[in-house]
Amino acid sequence: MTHERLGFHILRLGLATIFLWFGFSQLVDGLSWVGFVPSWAVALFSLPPAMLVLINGALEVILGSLLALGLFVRPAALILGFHLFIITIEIGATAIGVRDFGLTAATFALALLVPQKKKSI
Amino acid sequence: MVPVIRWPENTMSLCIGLLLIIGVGESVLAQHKDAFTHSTYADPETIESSVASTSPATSTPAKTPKVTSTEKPIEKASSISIAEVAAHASRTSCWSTINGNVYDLTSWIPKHPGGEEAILKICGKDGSSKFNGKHGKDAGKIAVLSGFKIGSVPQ
Repeated sequence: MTHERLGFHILRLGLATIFLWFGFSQLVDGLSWVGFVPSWAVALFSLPPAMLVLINGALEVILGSLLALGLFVRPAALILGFHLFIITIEIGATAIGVRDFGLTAATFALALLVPQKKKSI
Repeated sequence: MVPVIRWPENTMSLCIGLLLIIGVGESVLAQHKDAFTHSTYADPETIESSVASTSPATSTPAKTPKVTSTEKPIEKASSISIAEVAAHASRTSCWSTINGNVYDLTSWIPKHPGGEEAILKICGKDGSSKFNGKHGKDAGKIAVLSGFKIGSVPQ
Protein backbone atom coordinates (compact mmCIF):
# COMPACT_ATOMS: atom_id res chain seq x y z
CA MET A 1 0.00 0.00 0.00
CA THR A 2 1.43 3.36 -1.02
CA HIS A 3 1.61 6.36 1.30
CA GLU A 4 -1.05 8.12 -0.77
CA ARG A 5 -3.39 5.16 -0.43
CA LEU A 6 -2.75 4.86 3.29
CA GLY A 7 -3.35 8.60 3.69
CA PHE A 8 -6.62 8.28 1.81
CA HIS A 9 -7.80 5.47 4.10
CA ILE A 10 -6.82 7.37 7.25
CA LEU A 11 -8.68 10.45 6.04
CA ARG A 12 -11.68 8.36 5.03
CA LEU A 13 -11.92 6.54 8.36
CA GLY A 14 -11.30 9.69 10.37
CA LEU A 15 -14.06 11.60 8.64
CA ALA A 16 -16.35 8.56 8.78
CA THR A 17 -15.90 8.49 12.56
CA ILE A 18 -16.98 12.11 12.84
CA PHE A 19 -20.11 11.71 10.72
CA LEU A 20 -21.05 8.43 12.38
CA TRP A 21 -20.63 9.86 15.85
CA PHE A 22 -22.73 12.93 15.18
CA GLY A 23 -25.26 10.94 13.17
CA PHE A 24 -25.76 8.35 15.91
CA SER A 25 -25.92 11.12 18.52
CA GLN A 26 -28.75 12.80 16.64
CA LEU A 27 -30.64 9.53 16.35
CA VAL A 28 -30.13 8.56 19.97
CA ASP A 29 -30.54 11.95 21.63
CA GLY A 30 -32.39 14.09 19.12
CA LEU A 31 -33.65 16.55 21.72
CA SER A 32 -30.16 17.92 22.28
CA TRP A 33 -29.92 18.84 18.63
CA VAL A 34 -33.30 20.45 18.05
CA GLY A 35 -31.94 23.84 19.01
CA PHE A 36 -29.37 23.71 16.23
CA VAL A 37 -31.92 23.36 13.45
CA PRO A 38 -32.00 26.71 11.64
CA SER A 39 -35.38 28.33 11.18
CA TRP A 40 -34.91 28.50 7.41
CA ALA A 41 -34.56 24.71 7.28
CA VAL A 42 -37.84 24.29 9.16
CA ALA A 43 -39.53 26.69 6.74
CA LEU A 44 -37.93 25.06 3.70
CA PHE A 45 -38.90 21.48 4.49
CA SER A 46 -42.08 22.24 6.42
CA LEU A 47 -41.14 19.59 8.95
CA PRO A 48 -40.82 19.81 12.72
CA PRO A 49 -37.24 20.40 13.91
CA ALA A 50 -37.17 17.05 15.73
CA MET A 51 -37.98 15.27 12.47
CA LEU A 52 -35.26 17.19 10.66
CA VAL A 53 -32.77 16.14 13.32
CA LEU A 54 -33.69 12.48 12.85
CA ILE A 55 -33.50 12.73 9.05
CA ASN A 56 -30.18 14.53 9.28
CA GLY A 57 -28.87 11.93 11.74
CA ALA A 58 -29.96 9.06 9.50
CA LEU A 59 -28.33 10.73 6.50
CA GLU A 60 -25.07 11.19 8.36
CA VAL A 61 -25.09 7.59 9.61
CA ILE A 62 -25.78 6.21 6.12
CA LEU A 63 -23.22 8.37 4.35
CA GLY A 64 -20.72 7.97 7.19
CA SER A 65 -21.14 4.20 6.93
CA LEU A 66 -20.42 4.37 3.21
CA LEU A 67 -17.22 6.27 3.97
CA ALA A 68 -16.28 3.74 6.65
CA LEU A 69 -16.91 0.80 4.35
CA GLY A 70 -15.14 2.42 1.44
CA LEU A 71 -18.23 2.25 -0.76
CA PHE A 72 -19.33 5.12 -3.02
CA VAL A 73 -16.77 7.26 -1.24
CA ARG A 74 -16.73 10.08 -3.80
CA PRO A 75 -20.49 10.78 -3.94
CA ALA A 76 -20.83 10.25 -0.19
CA ALA A 77 -17.97 12.64 0.54
CA LEU A 78 -19.34 15.24 -1.87
CA ILE A 79 -22.80 15.17 -0.28
CA LEU A 80 -21.33 15.32 3.22
CA GLY A 81 -18.99 18.10 2.15
CA PHE A 82 -21.85 20.26 0.91
CA HIS A 83 -23.84 19.36 4.01
CA LEU A 84 -20.98 20.41 6.28
CA PHE A 85 -20.42 23.52 4.20
CA ILE A 86 -23.98 24.67 4.88
CA ILE A 87 -23.48 23.98 8.60
CA THR A 88 -20.23 25.94 8.54
CA ILE A 89 -21.92 28.93 6.92
CA GLU A 90 -24.72 28.68 9.47
CA ILE A 91 -22.32 28.64 12.43
CA GLY A 92 -20.25 31.53 11.11
CA ALA A 93 -16.79 32.69 12.06
CA THR A 94 -16.53 31.13 15.50
CA ALA A 95 -14.01 28.62 16.80
CA ILE A 96 -16.42 25.81 15.95
CA GLY A 97 -17.16 27.35 12.55
CA VAL A 98 -13.48 27.45 11.70
CA ARG A 99 -13.05 23.85 12.82
CA ASP A 100 -16.00 22.81 10.68
CA PHE A 101 -14.53 24.73 7.76
CA GLY A 102 -11.42 22.58 8.07
CA LEU A 103 -13.53 19.43 8.19
CA THR A 104 -15.48 20.62 5.14
CA ALA A 105 -12.24 21.10 3.25
CA ALA A 106 -11.03 17.66 4.36
CA THR A 107 -14.29 16.07 3.20
CA PHE A 108 -14.02 17.68 -0.24
CA ALA A 109 -10.38 16.64 -0.37
CA LEU A 110 -11.43 13.06 0.34
CA ALA A 111 -13.85 13.19 -2.59
CA LEU A 112 -11.00 14.31 -4.84
CA LEU A 113 -8.56 11.74 -3.49
CA VAL A 114 -10.68 8.69 -4.29
CA PRO A 115 -8.39 6.45 -6.35
CA GLN A 116 -9.38 5.79 -9.93
CA LYS A 117 -10.67 2.27 -10.46
CA LYS A 118 -8.24 0.06 -12.27
CA LYS A 119 -9.41 -2.73 -14.48
CA SER A 120 -8.72 -6.02 -12.73
CA ILE A 121 -6.36 -8.35 -14.45
CA MET B 1 0.19 -9.51 -8.18
CA VAL B 2 -2.25 -6.65 -8.36
CA PRO B 3 -5.38 -8.67 -7.51
CA VAL B 4 -3.55 -10.37 -4.67
CA ILE B 5 -2.81 -6.97 -3.14
CA ARG B 6 -6.15 -5.31 -3.85
CA TRP B 7 -8.41 -8.10 -2.67
CA PRO B 8 -7.23 -8.20 0.94
CA GLU B 9 -7.09 -4.40 1.01
CA ASN B 10 -10.77 -4.13 0.08
CA THR B 11 -11.76 -6.85 2.52
CA MET B 12 -9.72 -5.28 5.27
CA SER B 13 -11.28 -1.94 4.44
CA LEU B 14 -14.76 -3.40 4.79
CA CYS B 15 -13.90 -5.11 8.07
CA ILE B 16 -12.36 -1.97 9.53
CA GLY B 17 -15.36 0.03 8.34
CA LEU B 18 -17.79 -2.38 9.97
CA LEU B 19 -15.82 -2.33 13.21
CA LEU B 20 -15.76 1.45 13.10
CA ILE B 21 -19.53 1.70 12.60
CA ILE B 22 -20.21 -0.74 15.43
CA GLY B 23 -17.63 0.88 17.69
CA VAL B 24 -18.88 4.42 17.17
CA GLY B 25 -22.50 3.31 17.55
CA GLU B 26 -21.67 1.48 20.77
CA SER B 27 -19.78 4.43 22.18
CA VAL B 28 -22.60 6.86 21.41
CA LEU B 29 -25.11 4.49 22.98
CA ALA B 30 -22.90 4.07 26.03
CA GLN B 31 -22.60 7.81 26.35
CA HIS B 32 -26.35 8.25 26.27
CA LYS B 33 -27.01 5.25 28.49
CA ASP B 34 -27.92 7.47 31.41
CA ALA B 35 -30.48 9.29 29.34
CA PHE B 36 -32.27 6.00 28.79
CA THR B 37 -31.85 4.46 32.21
CA HIS B 38 -32.87 7.69 33.95
CA SER B 39 -35.48 8.65 31.41
CA THR B 40 -37.85 11.06 33.07
CA TYR B 41 -40.15 11.62 30.18
CA ALA B 42 -42.31 8.64 31.01
CA ASP B 43 -42.07 8.72 34.78
CA PRO B 44 -42.59 12.15 36.32
CA GLU B 45 -41.74 10.83 39.78
CA THR B 46 -38.13 10.43 38.81
CA ILE B 47 -37.75 14.01 37.66
CA GLU B 48 -36.81 15.22 41.08
CA SER B 49 -34.01 12.77 41.49
CA SER B 50 -32.45 13.14 38.09
CA VAL B 51 -32.67 16.69 36.96
CA ALA B 52 -29.30 16.50 35.28
CA SER B 53 -30.14 13.51 33.14
CA THR B 54 -33.19 15.22 31.68
CA SER B 55 -31.11 18.05 30.37
CA PRO B 56 -30.49 17.56 26.68
CA ALA B 57 -26.77 17.84 26.88
CA THR B 58 -26.16 16.24 30.23
CA SER B 59 -26.24 12.61 29.33
CA THR B 60 -22.77 12.49 30.75
CA PRO B 61 -23.22 14.01 34.17
CA ALA B 62 -20.71 16.59 35.25
CA LYS B 63 -17.78 15.04 37.06
CA THR B 64 -17.54 17.90 39.47
CA PRO B 65 -16.67 17.04 43.03
CA LYS B 66 -18.33 20.09 44.55
CA VAL B 67 -21.79 21.34 43.77
CA THR B 68 -23.71 19.74 40.97
CA SER B 69 -27.29 20.07 39.90
CA THR B 70 -28.09 16.61 41.25
CA GLU B 71 -27.37 17.79 44.77
CA LYS B 72 -30.34 20.09 44.61
CA PRO B 73 -33.70 18.38 44.45
CA ILE B 74 -36.10 20.20 42.17
CA GLU B 75 -38.61 21.01 44.90
CA LYS B 76 -35.90 22.76 46.86
CA ALA B 77 -34.48 24.35 43.74
CA SER B 78 -37.77 25.74 42.54
CA SER B 79 -36.87 29.04 44.14
CA ILE B 80 -33.20 29.93 43.98
CA SER B 81 -31.80 33.18 45.26
CA ILE B 82 -29.50 35.41 43.22
CA ALA B 83 -26.82 34.92 45.89
CA GLU B 84 -27.04 31.17 45.46
CA VAL B 85 -26.69 31.51 41.70
CA ALA B 86 -23.68 33.77 42.19
CA ALA B 87 -22.00 30.98 44.17
CA HIS B 88 -21.99 28.84 41.04
CA ALA B 89 -19.79 30.99 38.87
CA SER B 90 -17.19 28.55 37.68
CA ARG B 91 -16.57 26.09 34.91
CA THR B 92 -17.20 23.20 37.27
CA SER B 93 -20.52 24.57 38.45
CA CYS B 94 -22.12 27.16 36.24
CA TRP B 95 -25.58 28.49 37.05
CA SER B 96 -27.16 31.44 35.36
CA THR B 97 -30.44 33.29 35.51
CA ILE B 98 -32.17 33.92 32.23
CA ASN B 99 -35.52 35.66 32.05
CA GLY B 100 -36.36 34.85 35.66
CA ASN B 101 -35.38 31.20 35.55
CA VAL B 102 -32.25 29.53 36.86
CA TYR B 103 -30.30 27.15 34.66
CA ASP B 104 -27.42 24.80 35.41
CA LEU B 105 -25.30 25.24 32.29
CA THR B 106 -22.25 23.32 33.54
CA SER B 107 -22.55 20.46 31.09
CA TRP B 108 -23.45 22.81 28.26
CA ILE B 109 -20.17 24.74 28.45
CA PRO B 110 -18.13 22.40 26.24
CA LYS B 111 -21.07 21.76 23.93
CA HIS B 112 -22.19 25.30 23.19
CA PRO B 113 -21.86 25.80 19.42
CA GLY B 114 -20.95 29.45 19.92
CA GLY B 115 -17.99 28.53 22.07
CA GLU B 116 -17.34 28.05 25.77
CA GLU B 117 -16.62 31.70 26.45
CA ALA B 118 -20.20 32.76 25.80
CA ILE B 119 -21.45 30.47 28.58
CA LEU B 120 -18.56 31.09 30.96
CA LYS B 121 -19.30 34.81 30.81
CA ILE B 122 -22.76 34.34 32.30
CA CYS B 123 -21.87 31.83 35.03
CA GLY B 124 -23.19 33.08 38.36
CA LYS B 125 -24.84 36.05 36.66
CA ASP B 126 -27.95 37.11 34.87
CA GLY B 127 -27.54 36.05 31.26
CA SER B 128 -30.87 37.37 30.01
CA SER B 129 -29.51 40.20 27.89
CA LYS B 130 -26.82 38.02 26.32
CA PHE B 131 -29.21 35.15 25.60
CA ASN B 132 -31.99 37.38 24.30
CA GLY B 133 -29.55 39.43 22.27
CA LYS B 134 -28.00 36.40 20.63
CA HIS B 135 -30.92 34.00 20.34
CA GLY B 136 -33.92 36.28 20.68
CA LYS B 137 -37.14 34.35 20.40
CA ASP B 138 -35.68 31.33 18.66
CA ALA B 139 -37.97 28.53 19.82
CA GLY B 140 -35.33 25.89 19.23
CA LYS B 141 -32.74 27.60 21.42
CA ILE B 142 -35.35 28.22 24.11
CA ALA B 143 -36.27 24.53 23.99
CA VAL B 144 -32.66 23.54 24.50
CA LEU B 145 -32.27 26.03 27.34
CA SER B 146 -35.39 24.74 29.07
CA GLY B 147 -33.71 21.38 29.45
CA PHE B 148 -31.23 22.93 31.86
CA LYS B 149 -33.75 24.64 34.10
CA ILE B 150 -33.33 23.90 37.79
CA GLY B 151 -35.55 26.56 39.29
CA SER B 152 -36.54 30.19 39.20
CA VAL B 153 -35.59 33.43 40.87
CA PRO B 154 -37.95 34.44 43.68
CA GLN B 155 -40.24 37.28 42.67
